[in-house]
Amino acid sequence: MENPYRVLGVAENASDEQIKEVYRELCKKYHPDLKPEGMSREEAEEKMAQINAAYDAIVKARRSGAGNNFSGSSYSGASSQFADIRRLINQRRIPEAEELLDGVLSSDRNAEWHFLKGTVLYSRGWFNDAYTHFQTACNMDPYNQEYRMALNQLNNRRSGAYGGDYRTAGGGECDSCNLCANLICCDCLCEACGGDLIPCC
Amino acid sequence: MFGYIRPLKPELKVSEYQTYNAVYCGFCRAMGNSGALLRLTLSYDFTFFCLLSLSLEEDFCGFENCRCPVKAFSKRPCVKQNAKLDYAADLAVLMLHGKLVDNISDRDRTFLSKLLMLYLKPKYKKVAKRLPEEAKAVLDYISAQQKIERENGSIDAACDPTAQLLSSFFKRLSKNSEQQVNLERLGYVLGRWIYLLDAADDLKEDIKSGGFNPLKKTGREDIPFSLNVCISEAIDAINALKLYHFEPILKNIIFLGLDNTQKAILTYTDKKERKKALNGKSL
Repeated sequence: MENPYRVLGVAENASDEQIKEVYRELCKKYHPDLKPEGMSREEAEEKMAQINAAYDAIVKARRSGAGNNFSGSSYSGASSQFADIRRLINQRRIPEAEELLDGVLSSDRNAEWHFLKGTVLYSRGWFNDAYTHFQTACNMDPYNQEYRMALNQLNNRRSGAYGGDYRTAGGGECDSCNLCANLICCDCLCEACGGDLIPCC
Repeated sequence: MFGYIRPLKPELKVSEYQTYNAVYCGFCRAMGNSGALLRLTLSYDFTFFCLLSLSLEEDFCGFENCRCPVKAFSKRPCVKQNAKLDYAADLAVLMLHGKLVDNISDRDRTFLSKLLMLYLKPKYKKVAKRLPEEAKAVLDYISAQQKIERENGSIDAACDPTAQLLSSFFKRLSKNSEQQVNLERLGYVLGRWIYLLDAADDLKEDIKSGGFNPLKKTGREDIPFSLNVCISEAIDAINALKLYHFEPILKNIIFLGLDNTQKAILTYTDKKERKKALNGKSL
């Protein structure tokens, strides 16, 4: 069967918690009883069966300590190339990763290829092309969380939602005015619950 | 050289504004040491560069009073003369030289450029001797830029030479490898932002004249998106840096100044209105 990590759309080194979380999200999305949009009941049931099988496989393998050895016969040469590429990216060896990526034949350039190409381009600062590749990855594999998250994060940056507090009031400094006011508030709340933080107030 | 990287003045504290001016004056003085006329090429962008350079070391030389030839020789506070300001002034000479070389080969404002080149050449030679790597980086940048224009490169490819140049300049500001990673990134995204914004500003003219402009390949609505990513990345990079001085000013420039400049340039074409907007008068 296909690599279960790819079915769920998680990294192979994801923690158990992260995998559980992703599984829960996918259930909410594709459970046939919840009538997912754009899918017939049969399609949803099939998708749910795939997700369940993948999740079971990962849990079983981890419990038995077999790790992530899912290189079955369907694990083509191109896919194991991507595991190497992912490792290089994690080690911040971007030029090498990109060289391997560019060496992949056009016919093997699937959604994951576009996602990894986008990742590499993004780390080089080629944001426009990275965006295009992330979009292609999501178009080719719309259900993949990993690619969707990458695209969403880039969309957030594009929208000018900079976040980060610059000059918010008070700047988080702990001056005596803030300290006093905070203590008095705590005291009132304490007394409301039957306690007393500052006996003389 | 464009004055795109500047603070949002209304959001600076008065003391911060005075400090900013003192750095500006210190840089002006350093430029004047290279050649009085060079003071005319002063820019906010290099003031930012000086602030960043000075902020990365715990020791700071402090301020003193100096007399300003432009303001009737009145006394003004000024950063004391130091190697970092001199280095920035040298880079400014290299950049100016590069700009003139580019103009001359583009046959753009040739007479004026050749005249300025006569004045600049001896100074350039001295600086290039002192800073051979940086001088080569600027010349490489010019030729890379010209190549992209001949080949009608993509947007990312077109931004890359400017971005790489600034990235290499910023990296040299610190010997600490962790700081260098963030400085490289900051330099890269700022260089990219400057190039894109300049391209957006020139787009109308380039469409008319048929000149190279990578933004011809994209819709007008997409331009702010590309610029926003650069600002977002710049914010992450400056947050990751350890800054010993001038942190509020630097963050004002990155968090607020870039966005304000972007809006001013993209919204106003009239010079007067644009100047007002760039200075932070309400849009």
